[in-house]
Amino acid sequence: MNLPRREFLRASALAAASAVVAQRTGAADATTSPAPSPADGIAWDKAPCRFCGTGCHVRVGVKDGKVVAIQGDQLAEVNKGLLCVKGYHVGLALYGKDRLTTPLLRKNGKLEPISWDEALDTIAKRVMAAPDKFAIYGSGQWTIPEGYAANKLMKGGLSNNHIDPNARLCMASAVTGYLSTYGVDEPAGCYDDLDACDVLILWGNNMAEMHPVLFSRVIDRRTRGQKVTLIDIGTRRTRTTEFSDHYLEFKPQSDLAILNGIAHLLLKNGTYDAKFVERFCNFRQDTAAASLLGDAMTFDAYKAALEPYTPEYVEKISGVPAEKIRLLGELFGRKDIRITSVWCMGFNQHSRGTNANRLCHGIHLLSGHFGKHGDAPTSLTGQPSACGTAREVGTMCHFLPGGRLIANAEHRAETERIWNVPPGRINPKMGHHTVLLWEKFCTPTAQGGDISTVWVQVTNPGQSLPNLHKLFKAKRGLPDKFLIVSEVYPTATTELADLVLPSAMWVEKNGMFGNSERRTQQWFKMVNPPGEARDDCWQTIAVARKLFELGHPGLKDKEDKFLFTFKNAAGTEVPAWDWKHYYDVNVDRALFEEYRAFSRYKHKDLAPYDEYVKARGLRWPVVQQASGAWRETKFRFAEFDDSYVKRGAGIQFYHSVTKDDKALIWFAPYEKAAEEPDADFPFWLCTGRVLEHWHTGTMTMRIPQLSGAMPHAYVEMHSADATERSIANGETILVRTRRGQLRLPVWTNGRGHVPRGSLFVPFFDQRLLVNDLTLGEPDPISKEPDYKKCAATVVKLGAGRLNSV
Amino acid sequence: MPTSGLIITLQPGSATQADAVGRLRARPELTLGEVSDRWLPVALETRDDAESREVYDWLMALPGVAFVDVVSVNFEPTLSLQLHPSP
Repeated sequence: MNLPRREFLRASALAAASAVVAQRTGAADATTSPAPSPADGIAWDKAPCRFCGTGCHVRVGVKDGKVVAIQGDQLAEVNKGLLCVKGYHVGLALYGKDRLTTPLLRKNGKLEPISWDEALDTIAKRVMAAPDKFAIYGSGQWTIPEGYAANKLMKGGLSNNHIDPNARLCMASAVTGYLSTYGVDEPAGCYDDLDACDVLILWGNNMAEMHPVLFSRVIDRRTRGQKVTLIDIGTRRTRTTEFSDHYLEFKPQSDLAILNGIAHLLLKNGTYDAKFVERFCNFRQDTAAASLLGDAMTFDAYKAALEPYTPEYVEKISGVPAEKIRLLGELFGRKDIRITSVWCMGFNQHSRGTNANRLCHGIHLLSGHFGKHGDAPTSLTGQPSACGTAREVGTMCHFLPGGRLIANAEHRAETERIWNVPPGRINPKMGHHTVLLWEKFCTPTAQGGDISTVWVQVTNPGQSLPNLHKLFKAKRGLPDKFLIVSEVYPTATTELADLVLPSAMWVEKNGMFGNSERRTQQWFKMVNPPGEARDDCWQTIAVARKLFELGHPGLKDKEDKFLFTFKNAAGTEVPAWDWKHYYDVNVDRALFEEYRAFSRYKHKDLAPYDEYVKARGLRWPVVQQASGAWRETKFRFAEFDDSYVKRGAGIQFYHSVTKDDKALIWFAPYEKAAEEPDADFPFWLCTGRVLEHWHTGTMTMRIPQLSGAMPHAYVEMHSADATERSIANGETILVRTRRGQLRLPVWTNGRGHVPRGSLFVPFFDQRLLVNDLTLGEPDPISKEPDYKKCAATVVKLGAGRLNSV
Repeated sequence: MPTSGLIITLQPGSATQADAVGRLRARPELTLGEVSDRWLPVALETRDDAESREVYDWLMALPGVAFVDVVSVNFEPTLSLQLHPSP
């Protein structure tokens, strides 16, 4: 590179950093980005990051049709110009050398290139042959329009509810926690709470590595001299622990006891907020079977149920010293501080995940630590649109858009009205949730396997499902089962695919995401996808059109028009199913405007599409003001910020389960895990993520900077456990569970530190599939599997005890 | 040569800050901006990604440095090595 160009890039980098510093110190206006230099040659536009659920915005630099530079977007409230190591390499996710560029059909055991027309025909014929045995499996990485189109095709077109996202594996228990507490999904608070809390409690959440930009926001407060007490409650030491004031290490599953221990102390010490509870709360429990809404209980019964959870009893169950339980109880009992709780997969991927969520909401409600900035329980999500698409669009097998339910006749009728389809079009029977869907697909048809064709979009179940031998690999040898996979790279899922469709990704297409804090975000296509790769949304619409042409009656609305009809600004119909014309109209805008009509029912009001074009995301409910301006909401249910709360109410849970504007405080007992260590399998096995890789690594493992920094999976083991077995750091051992076994290098002195008797294995590595080993015991209410707990053993290789499982 | 924009958060204390800035100034890969409050904007230019990581780790370990944030990366110079073939 010539010198002036180098100097220019250096000056640009310094200018970008200086601009963020100026914004931090108040020396610059936070509403304007640095003006790009004309000599730059790079065109800049905004987009949310492709990876996690934090929802950072990036400035994407494009030159000669390629993404060449990434900057943190200083206009974005989420990240204020900062990015994590994955975020600032996000542009390179597009440019792995093995991008899929043409449709592939398996012929004689080998994937062979075919035309798009043949691919679409193949899918349409499979669906026509058995429409009720067809399923779509999507994800929280679907854009909002993509998920909406797939949902409409299945539920409004095929009268088939076998559609579920991988969000079932990720945040389904957060959903049931919110629904059973407040009657409506998603957090009341937002990231602003991180700027206002005095105490931040991280419940099984390694925020420093999994949501590093949010963590940086908290650490930044400390560098400004503010006091923020960090409490890390986890089952292994992580980078988060290094920054924490208190680390409470608990035995797996015993978080339920800790939460009850806090409630016990609030009641025993008389430090609960009696006025708040009386005005705003009712009490619930599951008496017989686990259920979403449970049974009413009195305050006295609640108090009696908590009586056994003394600090000493909780210590016995959890291993957390009684004085630390008292510390938590005392903090929650204080009225002069603000407490924010955050969690992610620690609570959610839990065989009692719904209960863990409920109990966490419960201690905030019981103590009155709710309803002010900095005082809130807030779940974090792992995927960029788990909230926006999976939850809000309702791509789960029991949902309709906007928080409506398949099982509710009024909800079906209203959805049919908005979709303009005949009454009765939507099937009243719930579809298969994720685990059941894959179990049915992997079961021979003659033995009740009632799913014969699955179309996977924007996810990698061949790596991310638990117990892979049972739920994915068993597809091998079932000749009447057909797996369609829309993907950008070859994955563990495409290995078993019968048909592979090459997809456009991120800024190769228009899109919208919804992040963890109810923030809906929008971006425009900036570069072309490689080869014949095409948008997932187009793929859905094109298959729908094929079905329409083949005469499937469900693809017509009440006027016999195609279900996905789009018009341009002049009112002329645009054949968007024809790729040549897909971008003749903004399909995202059209689908989003239709979807917006669903958003009012649960007060999740969305603004018009064009408002999101101007913004770095807006948090719903976005309510139009008398002036015509659109106002986002930072804190729901609280009068100071939520315009749907009645004046004078202070707090109003306006979707209350009990229809009296009150939230529910639940009691749920500590229960043992489904599989615990024993003589044969003496270790706990926990799985999770690492800083450098995002989920199954399909994107980040293609980025040399990230794969180089973390090239393969490993097993974290306590050094004393390793020494006891004559295992050296770095030595490859066998990790075995009742479901499978895996050779992994041991890491005893890595960045994470497990206690004795525990193992941790990350799941990003396609070559080392830890989900061959996991149990995946589902929560009985949310059906979300537990990836954090099962029993395992380790075998030193060469010990002569290896048996294949 | 990857080029990144960084913000270095300095530990409080003028002597500590001055010492850290002095040591930063001695690194040829770094171009320093003006310290403002506790923050120092920096441009980092390295031979390759391995060197970027090495410098980042050095920065994180440097006395007087509380935190390092990355705000921009230009990978244009290395992209040509990684691009998929044009259709």
